[in-house]
Amino acid sequence: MFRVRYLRVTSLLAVIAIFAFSSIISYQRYTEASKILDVTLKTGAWASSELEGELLRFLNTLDLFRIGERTPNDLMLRFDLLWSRIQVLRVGEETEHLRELPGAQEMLNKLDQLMKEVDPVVLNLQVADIQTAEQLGERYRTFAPAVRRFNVESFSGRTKLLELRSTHDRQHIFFLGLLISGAVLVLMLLRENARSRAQALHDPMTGLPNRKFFHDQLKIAEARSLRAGSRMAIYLIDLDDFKTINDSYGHSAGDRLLIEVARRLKDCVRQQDTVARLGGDEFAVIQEAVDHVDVSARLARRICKQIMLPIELNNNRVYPSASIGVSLFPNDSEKAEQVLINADTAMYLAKKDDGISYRFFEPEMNTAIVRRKRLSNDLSIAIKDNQLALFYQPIVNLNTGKIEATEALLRWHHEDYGYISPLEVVSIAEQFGLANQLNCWVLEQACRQNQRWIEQQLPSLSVSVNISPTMYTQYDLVGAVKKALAVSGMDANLLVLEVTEDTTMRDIETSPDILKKLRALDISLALDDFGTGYSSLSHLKRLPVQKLKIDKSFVQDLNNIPTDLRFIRTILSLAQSLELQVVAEGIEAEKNLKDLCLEGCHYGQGYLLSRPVQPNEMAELLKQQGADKLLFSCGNLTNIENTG
Amino acid sequence: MNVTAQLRCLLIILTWITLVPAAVADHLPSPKGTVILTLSGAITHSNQPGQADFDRAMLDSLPRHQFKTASPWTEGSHLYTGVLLSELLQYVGAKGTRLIARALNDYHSVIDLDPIAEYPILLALESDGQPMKVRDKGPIWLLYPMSDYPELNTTYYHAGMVWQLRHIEVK
Repeated sequence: MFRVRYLRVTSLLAVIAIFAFSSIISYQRYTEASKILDVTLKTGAWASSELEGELLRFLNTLDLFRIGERTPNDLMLRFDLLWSRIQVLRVGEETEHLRELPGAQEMLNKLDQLMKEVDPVVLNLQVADIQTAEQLGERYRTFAPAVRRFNVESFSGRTKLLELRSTHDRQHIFFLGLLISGAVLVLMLLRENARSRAQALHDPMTGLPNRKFFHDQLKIAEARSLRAGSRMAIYLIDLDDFKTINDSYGHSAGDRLLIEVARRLKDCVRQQDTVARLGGDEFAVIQEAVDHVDVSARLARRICKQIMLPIELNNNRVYPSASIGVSLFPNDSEKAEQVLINADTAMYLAKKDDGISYRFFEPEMNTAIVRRKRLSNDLSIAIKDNQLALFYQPIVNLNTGKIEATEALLRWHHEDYGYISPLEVVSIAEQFGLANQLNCWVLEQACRQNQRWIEQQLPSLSVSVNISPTMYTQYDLVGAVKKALAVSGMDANLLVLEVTEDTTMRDIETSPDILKKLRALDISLALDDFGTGYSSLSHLKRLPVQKLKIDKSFVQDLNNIPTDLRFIRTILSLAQSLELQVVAEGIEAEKNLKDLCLEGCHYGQGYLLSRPVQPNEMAELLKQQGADKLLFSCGNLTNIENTG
Repeated sequence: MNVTAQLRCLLIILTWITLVPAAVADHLPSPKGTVILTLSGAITHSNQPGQADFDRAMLDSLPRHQFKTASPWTEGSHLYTGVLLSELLQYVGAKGTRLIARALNDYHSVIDLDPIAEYPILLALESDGQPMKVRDKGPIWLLYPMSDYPELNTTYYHAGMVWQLRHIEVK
């Protein structure tokens, strides 16, 4: 960079040198030209001085002629020479400036007139004719003073020379002007250059430094920080849901938001800190000379606070939100570029938090991200190669103790990371665009397995399958269900789709038809994790669900002392009035089972009854049940109570 | 010896006197009219001791050349006719590199031959077909073809364009 700059400066200096040189040369040329002009002037001056000379010589010859000392030829020659001189002064450009002298033209004309007049007289003049000669001499002598004055004036070249001098002075000004204008031109060039450089390094919309400039600044700040032995913090700020704002309020509103955020960020930092727009809705801050981590935590909080202030966009009050990742140099890495990557990692994880938040980089974050990347790669292979497995957890009729349904649960044993929870698998699938593939696989597998049991003459069960949220919004869930039923040959009424309140909420807002279409296929819908989401009654009323699954947190409430039955009771009576079947999840203690039975909960699921099992184990359980070996029965319950 | 014989003798003597110098002067004819131009200095052909005199007729006997030109001393362009300086110099067998040209009014100019060697420099005798009088820069005007060769139209060459030319000294 420095070399390029050095070259640029050198070439600029060269240009200035050439400019100065040519100015000087042209000045010299001009001086030369004016000297030549001077010579011409003097030639003219010579011509005018010759006029006086010729006049005197003619008069002299006339005198000598009178006393017989000169021949008529001599006289005629002098007469001709005088006339010739007059002609030279009257005609031609060389003596033009002389004719411009006051009275000159008039005098020359008179002289010429005289010459013409006396020409025959001179030609016929006799030596003896003294009187005529004297008269002739007298007429010429009257011109002597005028000729003298003409001579003097033209020699000093008064008017012309003065004129020339003033031109000369004006020329000086001109050259000064040339130099000044040249200098101004160079300065303008420099300024223009600086401006285009600034344009190349700044984001035109927000006026903030762009990504390139930011990286330059980062290098400089890194060097400064190393020299001073100080700390610096790098912040990456990414607006949340910027796309949504752009889509719903228009691009100009989006632009205004970006400009406002840029302004707020600039207000947050000190003069010496750098705020840049890295592109899209991503901003970065370099905070130098950070004495303590608290200082940067304070700035992160300030940024959050400033960004979340409402802004009016198209008469709507919008509350911007952002995710901020912070990393410290040299604490987190000895390379500033790596610190920037760290900040990106921290920001990425902050994104997962709800609302506006900031996160400081921690080394574990990298491991988490590496794990996620790896799992996302391997998941797509695992789906194709059938490396995933479905386990089935029985759902038991608490009245009869019989297994009436199962919930299919995803299991993935990764060769390096071991058991991967279904939640993580779903989250990875959603993030990396594998949701459709995964859900189709699960649906098909579950239906096929359930059909297999039926074909094994085992009691027919319904099978519950969890569907991830994007299946409702981005993919063709109805189509996927139809296909799964078709390939497995299972009755539609045996399939239960478990949906969460979040999902259904979104569904109602985007396309309320999907749930209805699913119902039309004769499959059942179960509202999963009931009580943890919106739990709005009007919402529940509008949903075409047949089952409620009480979240395990409510079941856990039953373990409190004294037992907290309020929620369970409320939910059960609500379900009763809406004619919904209720399944209690997460039953782990026999005491819970008793309480649920007493409150009139019909179905239960949990480790106490059975953990999720493999298909062959499930077949075994069903066979035992046929031999009256129940997992549980209400009769047993009474025993427990009696014995307890 | 009678008068006729004496006269004849005188005539012979006179002829001899007049013819011998011509023979001595390497065959250049002698001027019969008024001498209007004299060449002197480094010349090999002459008609007087050390010099060559010309009258108008002698100049007219040399090849005639002409060109049209404007000048700083005239109004507009005129057609000038006369003899070429180069041919005149050749005619007198000039062996020099510079000339001193003198005018009737004692103006003189030193002319280096080298820079003008390639140009048809004229000893103009007529302007627009009329013989030039002294009052019109005549009878001889050493003139350069400035309109044909604008590079000759400078003060340096202007100085060499001697009008009322009377004498050329070859150096």
